[in-house]
Amino acid sequence: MRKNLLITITALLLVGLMAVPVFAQKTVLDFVWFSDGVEGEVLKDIIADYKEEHPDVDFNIIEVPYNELNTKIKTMVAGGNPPDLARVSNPGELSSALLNLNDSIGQDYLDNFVESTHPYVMVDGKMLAIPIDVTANGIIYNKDYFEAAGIDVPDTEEELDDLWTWEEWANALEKVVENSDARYGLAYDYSPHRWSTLLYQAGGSFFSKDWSEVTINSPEGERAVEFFVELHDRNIIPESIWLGGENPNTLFRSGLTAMHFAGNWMLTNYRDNIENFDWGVAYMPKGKIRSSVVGGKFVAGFKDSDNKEAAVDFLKYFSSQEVNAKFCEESLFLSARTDNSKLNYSFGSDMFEIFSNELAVSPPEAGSDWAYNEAMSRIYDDIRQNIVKSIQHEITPKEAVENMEELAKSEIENIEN
Amino acid sequence: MNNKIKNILWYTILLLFSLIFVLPIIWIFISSLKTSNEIFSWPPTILPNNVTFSNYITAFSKGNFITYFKNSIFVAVAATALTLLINSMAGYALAKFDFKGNKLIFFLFIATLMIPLQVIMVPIFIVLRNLGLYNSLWGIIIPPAATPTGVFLVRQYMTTIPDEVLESARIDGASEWRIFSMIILPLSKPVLTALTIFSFMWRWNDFLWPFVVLSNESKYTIQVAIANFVGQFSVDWNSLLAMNIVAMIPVLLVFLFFQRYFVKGIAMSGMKM
Repeated sequence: MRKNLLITITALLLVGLMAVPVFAQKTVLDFVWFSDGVEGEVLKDIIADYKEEHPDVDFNIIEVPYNELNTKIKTMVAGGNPPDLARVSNPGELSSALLNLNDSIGQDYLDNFVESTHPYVMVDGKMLAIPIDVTANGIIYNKDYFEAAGIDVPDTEEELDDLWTWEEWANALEKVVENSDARYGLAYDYSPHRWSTLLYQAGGSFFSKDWSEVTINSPEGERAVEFFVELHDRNIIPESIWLGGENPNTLFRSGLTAMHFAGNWMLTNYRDNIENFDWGVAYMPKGKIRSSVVGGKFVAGFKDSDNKEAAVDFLKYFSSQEVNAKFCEESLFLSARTDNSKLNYSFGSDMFEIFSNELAVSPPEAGSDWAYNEAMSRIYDDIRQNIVKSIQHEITPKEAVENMEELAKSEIENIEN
Repeated sequence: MNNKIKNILWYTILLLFSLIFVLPIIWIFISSLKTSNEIFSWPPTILPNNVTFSNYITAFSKGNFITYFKNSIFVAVAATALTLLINSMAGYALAKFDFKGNKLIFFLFIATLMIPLQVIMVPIFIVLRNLGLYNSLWGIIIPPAATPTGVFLVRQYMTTIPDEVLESARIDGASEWRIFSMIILPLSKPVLTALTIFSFMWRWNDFLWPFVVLSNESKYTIQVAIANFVGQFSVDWNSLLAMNIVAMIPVLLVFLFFQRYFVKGIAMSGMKM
C-alpha cells in the first residue's frame, strides 16, 4: 500500500518534470505592471484594442506589488529571462538592463512630453523609457473642517494672487484644529520627496540643475528643515508619522487631520473611500516661490528581450496621443504628453487643474534633483534620518543640511570613481 | 486549595497569551466585515455597524481567486508530500545508519539554514529556467522540498527509536525498505504529522519564491495574488483583509485536523541528540 503511494508520487513527479511548455505561435510580450487604482484594468482595455490591430501579438501581464517591482525585474534579468516591457517609476535604477530607444524611436519623440520627465528617461545620452503619466505633490483638505473654522482655503485661480505664506498656512492649520473636530492640522507623508516640496518653495535644491554642485547646504535648505521642525513643534503635524511610522493616508481618511500633504495619486483613493466629509485640493502655500515636485511613471523595453521590435511598436502605440489620453482619463492621471494637458476627466477636473498649475510653476530643480537617481537613491534614507533627527532636536537644521551636503558629496565621489 | 490557586494563575496567564495571538486575527475578521469607511473611522468601532460581505465579493471579483486557491492547494499538498518523503528518508539515514561523514552531512544540512533565499535566488532561478521549470508550479514545489528543518526534526525523532527494534527486524529477515516503511514510518507518525503541518503552512504562506518563479496570472498562488493589492501609494485594505481571512482557512483546517499529533511530535523530538 505504502509502496504504491511512493511509486505514485514518484510517477507524478516525473510527469511534472517532463511537461514541456508548448510553444505558442504568437509573439507573447511579457509586461511587468503594478497598480495603485484602476490603471491595470484600463491597460487591459487598451491591449485588447491593440490586439485587434495586431492579431499576431499577445500579452502576458505580470502584475506585481510595487515594493517587489525591482526584485521581480532584476531576478528575471539576472536569470536571463527579462520581460519585454515594464512599467517603472525610475528607469535609472534599471539602466543597465533597459533597451536604448535612440534609434528605434528617436530622441525627438521626447519633444512631445513635458520637460520635467526628460531627465528621468535620458540616462548617459540614452533614451531608456517613454513617459506615460506624471505626478504632482500637493495638498488635499477636509472642506467640512475648514468651513466649520471659517477659514477660506485658496483653491481657485482667482485666489492665486493671494496664496498663503508658510506662516499664514501654519496659523490656519492651528486655527482649524481649535475650531473643528480635527485633532491635528496636517498629515505629511513620511518621504523626503514630499519634504523636498518645502525645499523648493524656500528657493533651495539638493543639486544645481546640471548636477555639477551640491547645493543643499544653503540658508534656503536650512529654512526648509527649520519650518518642517516648527510644524512638528507646534503640533500641527502629529509626530507619530515621521517618528512612529503612522500612515498619513489613514489619518486623513479617518478625519483626524484637516489636511494631507501628498499628491494627485491620492484622488482616486479618496474618491472611493471618503464618505463622511467633503474634501478638495488646495493650492500650496508659497515660500520664497511656489513649487510642487514632479514624479512619473514610465514604460520601458529590455535590451535582452526576444521581442524588441514588437515591444517598441507597442511603446509607440501606448504613448501616442490618443491612447495616452484614454489611459490617463480613465485612470485619473496627469498625462506626461504636452498635447494632453487638458483632458476630460469624469471626476475632479478642477482638482487636476490645480495640480497641473502647481507643476507649471515649479522650478526646474524640482525635476532635475529627483531625476539624478544615482545620487538620490544613495542619500534618500539619510536625508530622511537627518530630518527625523532635527524633529527630535538632536541636531539643528543647520547641522542637518551640512550632513546632507557632506553625504551627497561623498556619494557623488563614489559614483564618479 | 493551593493547587487551585496555582491552576487559576496558570490559566489566566495562558488565556492572556492566547489572547495576544488570537486578537489580531479576530480584529482582521471583524474589520473584513466593515465598509472601507468604517475601517478607518475614528474612534474605531469594535463591532461593524452594518455587517457587509461586499469586501469578500469585490476581492473575489478582482482576480481569479478560485484558480489561485487551486494552485495554492496543489502546491501545498504536492510539496508537503514530497517534503515528507525526502525528509523522512534523509532523517532515517542520518539517524540510524552509521556511515563515514554522517555527522558532517547532517551539519551541512543544518548550515544551509543560515543562507537566506535572497542570496541564492538568482542561481536557483537559472537552474530552474534551464530545467524548463520557470513559470511552472513544479518550479515552486521542488526546490524547497528538502527542508533542513524537516530533516533535523525527523532525524532527532528517529534517534529515539531503539536500535533493538531494527535489529530484531533484520534478524527476522526484513528488507531495509520493509523496515523503513513498516516500522520506522508508523513509529514516526507524531513527527511526520508535525512536519505535515509545518510544511503545509510554509508552502501556503510562501511568497518570495512563488513570486519570483511565476510569471503568468493563471499560475499565481494565493499569496502572490494577495500581495498585488498593495500599490505604490495606496493599499486596497478591504480586499486585503477579506482575502487574508479566506486564505487562513485551509491552514486552520490542516492544523485543527493534525494538532493532537503535532503537540506530541514537538514534545518528543529533540529529546536526545
